[in-house]
Parts: sequence; structure tokens; C-alpha cells
Amino acid sequence: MFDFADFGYDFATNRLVVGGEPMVLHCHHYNCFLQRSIQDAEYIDSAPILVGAAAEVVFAQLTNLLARTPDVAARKALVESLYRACGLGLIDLSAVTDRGGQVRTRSTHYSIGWKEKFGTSRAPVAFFSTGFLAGALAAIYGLPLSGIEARQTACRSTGADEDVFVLGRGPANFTIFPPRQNAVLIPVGKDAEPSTSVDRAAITRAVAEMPLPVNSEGLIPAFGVYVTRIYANYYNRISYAFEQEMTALAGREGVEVAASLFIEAGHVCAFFTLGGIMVSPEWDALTLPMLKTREDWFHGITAWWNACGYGVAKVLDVSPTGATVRIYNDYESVGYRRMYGTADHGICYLVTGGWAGVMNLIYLGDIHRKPDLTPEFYDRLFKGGRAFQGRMTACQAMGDPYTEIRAELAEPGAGERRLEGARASA
Amino acid sequence: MFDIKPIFDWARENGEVKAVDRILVKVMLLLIKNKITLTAATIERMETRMSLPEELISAIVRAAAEVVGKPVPESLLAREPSNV
Repeated sequence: MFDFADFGYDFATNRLVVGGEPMVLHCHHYNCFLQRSIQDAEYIDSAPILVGAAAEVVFAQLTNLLARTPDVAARKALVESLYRACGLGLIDLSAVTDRGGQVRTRSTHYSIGWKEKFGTSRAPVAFFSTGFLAGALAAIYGLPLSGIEARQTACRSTGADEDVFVLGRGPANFTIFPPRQNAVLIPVGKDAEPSTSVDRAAITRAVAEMPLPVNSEGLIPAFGVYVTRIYANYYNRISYAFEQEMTALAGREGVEVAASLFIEAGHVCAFFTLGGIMVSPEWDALTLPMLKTREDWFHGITAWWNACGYGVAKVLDVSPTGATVRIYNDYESVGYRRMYGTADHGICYLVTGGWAGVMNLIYLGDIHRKPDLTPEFYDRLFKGGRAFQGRMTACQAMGDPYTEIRAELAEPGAGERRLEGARASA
Repeated sequence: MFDIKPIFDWARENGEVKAVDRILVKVMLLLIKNKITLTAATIERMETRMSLPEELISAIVRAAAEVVGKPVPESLLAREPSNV
């Protein structure tokens, strides 16, 4: 059986690497929002990208993990338990052979999460699971990924009773991406940080080692969301492949529109996942007793952030008007460089939106009062004129020695609205 | 001439946080085809009416309705009399 506890969290880099693939925590709000942002561009055939990105990382990981497990039944059992441990739902591979087969399930993170967040969908949405199964089939039977077909033919998000995935042999009907380079990590610097009563290292250690209970549906309901622990390079691949498609179509303008939505996905992540953490009993038990000021809340959530597999975040300054966070080996930069080399523009969208979102929650949203994290509250907090804006002041993917985000309180003049953006070019 | 800005304003007021950006993503291909640069920032600052091709207007209206999840109000679709 697969268990994340068998793979140690690396506290020097704040990464969890399983079978060569870094794994990160996110929730169904972020997962579905990011996917929908990509699918909004209906003129781009995004399904092969979404499926291919999942197949790529799962195939790579399982090729490693299954290397010492020759028995097919044992391989299938490990894959099923990995899928469940990730919070992706339930799969039964007993009907799958080396020719393919059908996988039917009533529980899929994306199908259930999508319906919960956006309502009924017009078409199947579980591209990640489709790609996961394609990668799994290839890895279990030692087949080339390029010889696998995979599609989802029914989806609970559309109102169907179950999800149905069909696997077969034939030319891949999804994108086969070029091989990635090895990950290059940068040494973590010794930066001066403001003093705080929060023992960040102790919190990070406790949270990273805290088990995430999986329910009978293979989902991880926690902090008011459905949590997943999946592949950093899935998020990276779908984001940057989409950005490249938009660049090819529309040049700089395409990048800026895509960036805006990816940064918004960072707000969504901060609000629902990190916000959900800050109103949770786990936060109250582990962190709240150390907090005296709002700045301490920022340090507290930084400690949790550091347990999510996102890299090493350091707080250089934080006040009611702004914060500077320096991140070593943020997963976006590390992944981008593995896939595309040095970036010619800032690509750290999640952290740009994420840290601005955290500031909004702490200083404008009074998260210490434990508000309900409703969509209406989200709109009030992020739609208004007065809000924190994030911007990249350094980006490791561009060759900088770290990524750095400055989140500042913006007070737009009358009639103006908040316009948040990323560093556009080197 | 049809004034497109109220459509974006309506979407911003009634839709989600990045409603305007979502509309722009949806109509990006037509923007390119018509060589029109439109961003959330330029829309925000738009003071004069912008002449847009009919197919683009229709696409923006359709995308706005999709993003907000309800039809664009008729009052916003009315056109001023024009001799052009």
C-alpha cells in the first residue's frame, strides 16, 4: 500500500518528492479554477494538454515507484492506493489489462469538486484522472506512453451517476511533452527576518508530518475544502503549455490575459485553502496560541505554507501596508526551468496571487475573527478597490537567486479599480 | 455606434472577480483577427466609444452572459440611432 509517510518531507527545501515527482497541496477550488481558466480559451484544444500533463508526471513517477514490484496485481494495488492517498478519489483497475479497459467510479476529485464549485458541467471535466490512468496503464505494463489512448466517457459533474474512463492501445490522443531536464535547486540564503513569537520551524514540521485523513470516497475533506496532494509539475505543465499557446496566438497580450487569470487562481488558493486553514481547529491547536499580532498571523500561515511542498518562504518584512516574501525553489520556477529553460518573463503566478491573498485575509478580511469563507466574502475581499496587490520583484525561473513577492496595499482613486500584474519582462 | 463598455461593467459588477479577463480570453481569437488590443486596463480607462466589428460585439455579449451566468440585460443591448 502506498503511504506518503514513507517519503520524508525535506525540511531543507520544503519539498516532498515521491518517485522523482514533487507533490504539493492544493484544493478543489484552485484545481477547478485553474482548469476552467485554461478551458475558457475554447479555440485552444486544451484537453490533450490537460490529459498529457497528468500522464507525463504519473508515468514518470510510477516508472520509478513500480521498478521493484514485478507483479501486476501488486502494481495495480499500489497505483490504486496512491490515487486514493492523493485525495483523487477511488479507482479499481481489476478490469484493466495490457490492452486497456474500462474504469468506472463514483468518486473523482475533479468531478465532485467541479460540480460543488461551478454546478453542473456541460462536458466531462476529469482530465487529470484520465491522464493519471493513461500514465498508470503504461507504467504498470511497461508500455510506451505514446501508445496509450485514454478518454472519459461519463462524468458525475454532468449529472451522470458515475465517471467512466476508457483506456486502450493506439497512438496517444493527448500531448506527449518533450523530456524534462533534471531539477536544479538553489541553496537557501540566510536572510534576516523580523522577530516573531511564532515558532515557524516547529509548526512546519508538525504540519508536514500531520496525516491527511482520506475518507471512504478517497477524498480528503479538510479545512472546509477537498484537499489534494498532487504533482507540482502537472500544475506547471498545464499553466505554461497554455501560456505558450496563448503567446503563439496573441503574443504579449495573450500572456498578460493568461497571467491575470493564473494570479487570480493564486487568490483563490489563498482564500479557500490558506483561509480555510486559518479558521480550522488544527490552526487553533497548533498555531493560535503563538499569535499576538496580525504580523504573527502572517508568520503563522507562512509556516503552514512551508509545509505544503511549495519551497522555502521567508518573510523579509510585513506590516499593515505590505509584505515582502522571498521564496527559494518555488515549485513554479523549478518546474518551469526543467521544462522550458530560463524564462524571459516572470512566471510565478501562484505565489504572486497567493501572498497578496494572504495579506487581504489578514489585514482586510479580519481572518482572526473566523469569518465564513463564502464566495460572497471572496467577492467583497477581492473585487473591491482597496486590496493588496502582488508583484514579482524577483523570479528564480528568470535566473534570479530566489523568487520574491511584494504585496502592497493599493488604494485606487475614485472610479479606478485594482489592476494586479506580474513582472512582465527581464 | 454600440457602446461595449457597459457590457464589461455589467459583467464586472455581476460576475466573478476576473469576469472581464475571462471574457477577453474567450474572445481573444476574434480580437487578434480584427487586430484589436483590448485589456482589462484599457477597458477600465475607456472614455470614448470604441468601434468594434459586429461579430466581435456579438462574441463579447455571448461571453459576458456565459461568464456571469445570465443573459445580458436588454437595456445594455439597445443601440443609439445612427446615420452611419
